[in-house]
Amino acid sequence: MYLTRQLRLLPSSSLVRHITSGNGTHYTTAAPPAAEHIEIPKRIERSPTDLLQALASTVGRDSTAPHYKYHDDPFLIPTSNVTKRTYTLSKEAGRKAANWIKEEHRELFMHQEAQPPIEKFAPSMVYTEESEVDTSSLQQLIAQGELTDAVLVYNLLEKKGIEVNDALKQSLLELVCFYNNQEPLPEEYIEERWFLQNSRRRERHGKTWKDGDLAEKLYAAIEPKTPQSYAALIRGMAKYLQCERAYALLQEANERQIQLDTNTYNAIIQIVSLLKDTADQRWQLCTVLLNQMAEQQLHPNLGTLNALLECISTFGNFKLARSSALKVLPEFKQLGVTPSLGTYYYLLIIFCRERAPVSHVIVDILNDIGGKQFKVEHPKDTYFFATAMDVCRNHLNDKALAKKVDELLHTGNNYDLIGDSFKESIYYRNYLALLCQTESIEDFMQTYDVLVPNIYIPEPGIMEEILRAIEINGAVEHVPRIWSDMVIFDHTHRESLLLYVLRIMVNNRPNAELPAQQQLPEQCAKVALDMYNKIEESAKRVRKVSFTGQMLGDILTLLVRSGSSFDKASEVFAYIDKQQHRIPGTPAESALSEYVEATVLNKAPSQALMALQYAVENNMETIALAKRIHEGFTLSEVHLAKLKSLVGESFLDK
Amino acid sequence: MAANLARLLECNIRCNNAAAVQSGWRLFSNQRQQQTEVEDDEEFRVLNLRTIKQQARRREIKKNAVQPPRTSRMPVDQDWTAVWSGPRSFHPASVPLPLRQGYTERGAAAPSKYANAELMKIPNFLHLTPPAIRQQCEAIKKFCTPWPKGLETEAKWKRPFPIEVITTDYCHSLPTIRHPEARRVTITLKLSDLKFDAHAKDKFLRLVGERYNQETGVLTFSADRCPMRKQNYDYAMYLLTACYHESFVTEPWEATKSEADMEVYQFERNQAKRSAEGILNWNATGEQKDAPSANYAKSVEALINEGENEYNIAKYKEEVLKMLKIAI
Amino acid sequence: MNFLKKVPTQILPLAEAQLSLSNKSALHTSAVCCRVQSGRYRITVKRDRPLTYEMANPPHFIGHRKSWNSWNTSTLKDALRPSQTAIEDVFIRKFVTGTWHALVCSEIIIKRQHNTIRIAAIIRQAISPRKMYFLIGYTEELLSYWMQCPVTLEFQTVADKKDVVFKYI
Repeated sequence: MYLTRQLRLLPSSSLVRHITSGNGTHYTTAAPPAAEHIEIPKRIERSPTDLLQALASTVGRDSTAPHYKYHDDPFLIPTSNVTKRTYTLSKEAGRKAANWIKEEHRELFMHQEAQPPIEKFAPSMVYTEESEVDTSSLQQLIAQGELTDAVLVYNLLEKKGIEVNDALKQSLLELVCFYNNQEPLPEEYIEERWFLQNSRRRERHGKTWKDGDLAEKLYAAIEPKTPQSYAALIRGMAKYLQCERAYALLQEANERQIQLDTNTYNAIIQIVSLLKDTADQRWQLCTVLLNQMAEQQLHPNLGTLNALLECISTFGNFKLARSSALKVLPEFKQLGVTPSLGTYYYLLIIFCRERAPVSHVIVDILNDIGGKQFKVEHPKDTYFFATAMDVCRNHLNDKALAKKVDELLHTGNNYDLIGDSFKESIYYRNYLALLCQTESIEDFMQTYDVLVPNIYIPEPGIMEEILRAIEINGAVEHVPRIWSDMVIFDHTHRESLLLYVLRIMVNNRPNAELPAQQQLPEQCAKVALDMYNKIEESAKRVRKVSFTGQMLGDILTLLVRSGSSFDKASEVFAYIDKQQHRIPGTPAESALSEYVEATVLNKAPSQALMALQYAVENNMETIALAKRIHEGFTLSEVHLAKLKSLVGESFLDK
Repeated sequence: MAANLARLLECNIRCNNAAAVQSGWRLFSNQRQQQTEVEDDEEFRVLNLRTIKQQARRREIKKNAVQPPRTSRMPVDQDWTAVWSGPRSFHPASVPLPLRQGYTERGAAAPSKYANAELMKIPNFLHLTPPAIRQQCEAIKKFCTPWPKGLETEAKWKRPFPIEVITTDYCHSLPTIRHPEARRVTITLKLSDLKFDAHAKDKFLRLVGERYNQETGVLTFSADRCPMRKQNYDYAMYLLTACYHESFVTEPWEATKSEADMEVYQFERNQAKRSAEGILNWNATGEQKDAPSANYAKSVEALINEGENEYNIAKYKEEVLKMLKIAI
Repeated sequence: MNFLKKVPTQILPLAEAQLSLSNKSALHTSAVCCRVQSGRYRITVKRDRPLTYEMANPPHFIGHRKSWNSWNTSTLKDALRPSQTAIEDVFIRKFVTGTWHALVCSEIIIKRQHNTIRIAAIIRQAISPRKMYFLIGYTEELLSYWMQCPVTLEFQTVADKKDVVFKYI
């Protein structure tokens, strides 16, 4: 297992060649060539990870297991969106703590065990004001993308008067412009990135470019100005939304006849919507920029296409947006630019707007890209799936399309393009909501079983949709399952959901004759009792739910129906009776009558009278109850007297 | 007053008993618990001074209910390769098998899979089920080429590929992938796969020395003097090539090899031949000269090289008689 | 019991010389009386000392009734770093029991495959899962910095310490 022996065979021809080339021909060494010719197939070239990837492709997703970043143990599997988030983030916090210790006690981690050495396991280099530095270390830092250290070293070099050549300055400028001289989130903390978008909506929040900072100083230090330095600064300014100056710089470059590149123009086209106010002006500016590109003989690429579409998507005028998008697309097709998912995302937001006519552009898109595999090519590529599903649900309400989108998502490695946790949950929210509106409840529950809870946990809003679907279909047999999920997902403090669950169970009286539903009354009673306990418990908590008469009445009904939990029902009723001044509303009359019916069955006249008394006190219909009690029991004198005192003797007359 | 106190105490005891039953805690000592059972009838009252403290301690942090093991949710027709995709320690909540492991005495059942460290210790092969292996083979098939035609048996492929190169990889559980022994390279081939003339073969065998195994006829070159496998391989191949070519070179000094340097007796070069010729050509005139027969030469060589034994002597006698045309 | 005494005296120096000559791994022998005591637990008066399955079986049952706690290749022929591996295992054990303070209910099982180290143990559910995840991330990362190998934790949790108890003596 741990020892492999390799046998390699060399063909005789190689040996023979050695011999004949090294010597004269006065003796023959080579065996006469074999009669049959043996063809050895060429080795199939593969990269070091190809085999691993092939093996990994055999592994499917197990819907009963959590994502592999979680520990596979019942205690440690997250059961709600909150725990999903906290667990991963605390794990990452632990990793950060370990990293901190490594950096803080670097002298303990200097040993060298691994061979070949792994750089990430060793403490990183520390640069201080006293460090001995030269240009080569600056170069290395820039190559590693260590922004803060690179800037520090650059300042040190300047202080010491060491000349930094222009090429190095240029690469530092590019680094600083890319990050806006701000240390980015380290790459290895993917979970933080995954959950970042939840809390931060960074879209178009105005200028963040640091005016007069290091980038501009570096730019000033580079003399004479090269096209690259212009490009770096323009792109940096455009990225951090210093729009006016970016555009001014572009014009300056044009005046000086400096040849810029396509990506710089892309950056400017992206911010056109911030430079001009009206759609016409924006479109005009885009045309101007594109003409400039044509003059400079720059070939537009995918970035140009997506930037243009982004600009078009900001047009308030729907018709203009639509017509210009339709103008742009064929032109780029002619240029041989293959659209990415980001392109389709822009098309979706251009064509499928809330106040615009219904557009079926997504059908054409899906016909175009169905079954294809995508790689990330543009930052906006990750927006496609969430938006497409949103369009399927809210714009078209089309189940078949949604299934198509889902199929595309699970083709090849396309799941990598889902984006982050936020987009993933939007995607599944729309998907589930659409399915529960349009699919039969049985089919829907199958999908539900696959997705919930490990891939997606429904939010309360979606839970309500699901409950609505169950109510419409009268599929009360799914309620116990949904209830246990609700308990796990911590939805039990939502009054509307609780009422919904109760309503479904009360209104859909299980049919005892069907064998499938025989267990149901018991289960419903269990759910009701569980809910009763949960609500009682929650009184001590911050997020408390208070009983209403309606709720208690429903719980009472369900307990009564199960047959075996009459004691519990009496307990609940005693609670209603005792707390009647605190509980707003009263139970439905049907609940009371069912309860009385049960008291008859269980031969508990005092409970029946208590119910009657409650009905009297709360101004409810009492005659029918009293009658039922009178007929149902052979009452003792005491009870009869009480009955009379409650409703008078009138009921006996009829 | 006294009655009140008594009632209070009684109340306390009830509370305590209830608590003891509920939580299964031992409130006092072992004896106390047994006593309560015995004295239930008489209700012996114990003054419990620690009541308040105990009740304060009972407040527990509310734990969330732990999910049932996920094996309960697994469908019977699930794709096991997705559940257990790689080597992993055993986990009872993920493996839907009623496993047990451990030794118990007195015929008791072996410990179950829950909280069983023994099951976690042994390396399992749950990730290498036959379907998983089949899937993986299917997946890596695209990197394989078909076995060449005409090389089906060892005898067949030995002919076009006479040289074997043997190296060893060490896959130990270490942070390093290097192993000093991995540099060793061994090359083997059969001597019969090389073509020689008599001189070259003799010289070659002298050059390779003990790298040649006389019994099996296999040449073995192993090299480990360089730090890298590639270097050692190159060196071994160089050794083979150099020896082979060198063996065909005849140096001037090789001609000075005298009879004393010969390692085997050769009839052609020795006095025996001349004597035999002398005898055969006794008084002979003219150009015609008789040479001793090849059989005679062979028998002389055998007699001297292999030593005197009955067969050789008998053979020699026969040849001599034949040569001298003496009939007995 | 002491088997060293049975060896004829004239052979001993020879054996020693051979041992010192070969710089391979050598077997260290100490007084055999250790076998009577080490890895065994004394029976208490009240018979209430909890033992796990591992503790209940003395060392000479390793390989028969219980298996090893460390799985690696350091005992193979030509294996490298045998001593370092053993020391690292001790370090891992101490580190994990200390970091997961009063939570580890079983022995710590260390399995090494190539350059990955998998650490398995049984953990008590005494702290919240959130804290556990912090410790998991911390332990995995710090140990991998120290060993310079990827480290994976494979814990199983139990509700109560009593779940791992095999018997009381």
